[in-house]
Amino acid sequence: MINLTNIHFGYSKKRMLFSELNLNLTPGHIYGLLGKNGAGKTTLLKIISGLLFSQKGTANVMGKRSELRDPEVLKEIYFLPEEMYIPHLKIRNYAKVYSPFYPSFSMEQFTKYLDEFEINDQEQYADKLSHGQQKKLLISFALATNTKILLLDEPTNGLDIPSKSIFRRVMASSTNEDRLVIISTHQVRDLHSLIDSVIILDNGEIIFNQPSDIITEKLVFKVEDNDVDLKSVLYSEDNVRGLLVVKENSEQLESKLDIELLFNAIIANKKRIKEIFES
Amino acid sequence: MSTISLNRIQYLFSKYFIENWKKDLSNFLIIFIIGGFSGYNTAFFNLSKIIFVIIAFIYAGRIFGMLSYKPKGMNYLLIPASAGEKTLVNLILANIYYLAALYICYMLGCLFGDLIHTFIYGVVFSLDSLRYALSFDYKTILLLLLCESILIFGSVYFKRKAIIKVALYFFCFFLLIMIVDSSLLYFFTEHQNIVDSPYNYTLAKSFPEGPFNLKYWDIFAIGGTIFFILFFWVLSFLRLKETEV
Repeated sequence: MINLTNIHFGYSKKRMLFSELNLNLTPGHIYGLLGKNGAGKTTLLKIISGLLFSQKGTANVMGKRSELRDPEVLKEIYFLPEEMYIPHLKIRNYAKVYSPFYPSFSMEQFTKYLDEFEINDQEQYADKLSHGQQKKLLISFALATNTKILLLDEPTNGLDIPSKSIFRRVMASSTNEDRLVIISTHQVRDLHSLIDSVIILDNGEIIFNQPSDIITEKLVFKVEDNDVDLKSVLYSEDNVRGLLVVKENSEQLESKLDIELLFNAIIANKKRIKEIFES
Repeated sequence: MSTISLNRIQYLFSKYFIENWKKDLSNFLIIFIIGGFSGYNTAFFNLSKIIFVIIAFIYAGRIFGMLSYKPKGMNYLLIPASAGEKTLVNLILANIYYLAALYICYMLGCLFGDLIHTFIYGVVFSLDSLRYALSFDYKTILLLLLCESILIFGSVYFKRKAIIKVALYFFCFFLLIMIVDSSLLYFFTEHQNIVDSPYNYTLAKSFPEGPFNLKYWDIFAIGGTIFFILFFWVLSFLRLKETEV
């Protein structure tokens, strides 16, 4: 559904952000796009949506080049940026103005999601809502569009604690086999249970792209005593509970994926982890 | 290629009107009031026409103003409609809807002003100001459209402070044309004519039977204006297609 081939992109000619970046994403997954600040997560989402054009290589979305911004493709993509724009419209009118562009939009779902986020009055002006409420409005709209591709840039930023769990719930209920969701985030703990594939971007390269089940098959995430033999450990972190470790799962143990720990392990021990996943 | 869909065009218009009707209405009210006062004094009448043109130019120069603010630009570019549809809608808005609405409000203002004048001063009702208001000839309209097309292109090209930047480019362009023109005339005609009396100098004097037949020149100027209007429309479309945010 999304094919990026040999993407070269830079904001200046001297410093390229992506060189020969390749990525192939299929529907039916919620991809977590992780990376340090400035790694190019938002840029990647913009290239996919057609807001930025790669200088070399091709970005194909649903079989068409994304930079063409073909309306037939755009009606199947919804991009929720971190920095949002909300026009001076009542919520009801916001849906009235933008929904006709999305043929699969469901007003019923939109109202349902708004209710879940406790935004009950659609006569309110959307731009007068708080930042968090505006985000909830756009998340509700994004989910109600029922587009095949959903790009979410830091969706939980600005959401209060109860809203984060509502977000996880509505996201989980709205995904299906035909939908591809990419969530770019730093708040991995918020989305831990939601993400089923992890993509890690570092220095303009996709250094990791694996589904959760393969990750837990190859790696084990454990809490160990401080006297553990560090030779077998790929990465460790001190914690009040003990030592959080990532190890190769040679004994086929079952463990729960800790995305934050995985991210730190990959950044710290890129080469070794790559070898494990290639073996 | 699904570049033009009447449904999407309709959605874009609907989006525009729901989002902007209040702002537009206030501008139309301003031009109505200005029209109402314009009948009494020639100077004010001319000034009102200038205000009319300025309002139309500001509108055209801001038609792609959403691109000046990144989140707004992203929102606009990702609306599922093609660049062709978006350009077409904005061209219709700037060149037909807004000009026509301004003009109608201006004329209604003139008419209303005349009526008030008649009631207050007991004079015979006349449509003098309305007659003046209707006195835009096709050449003026073409010139207006040309300026608008340049401003529309400016608004998609420069994104920020488009009107000022277009005005600056205009100034530089005409300055350059003037320098080239003066230099050519200086070298290809008798130097004395220009040096002694530059303001009385006319093309007809230098080329009494020459290529500058004014009748043909008129046709050439109209054709050229239409060509450049279309040229800047196409340029706006191409620029919008290439815009990245």
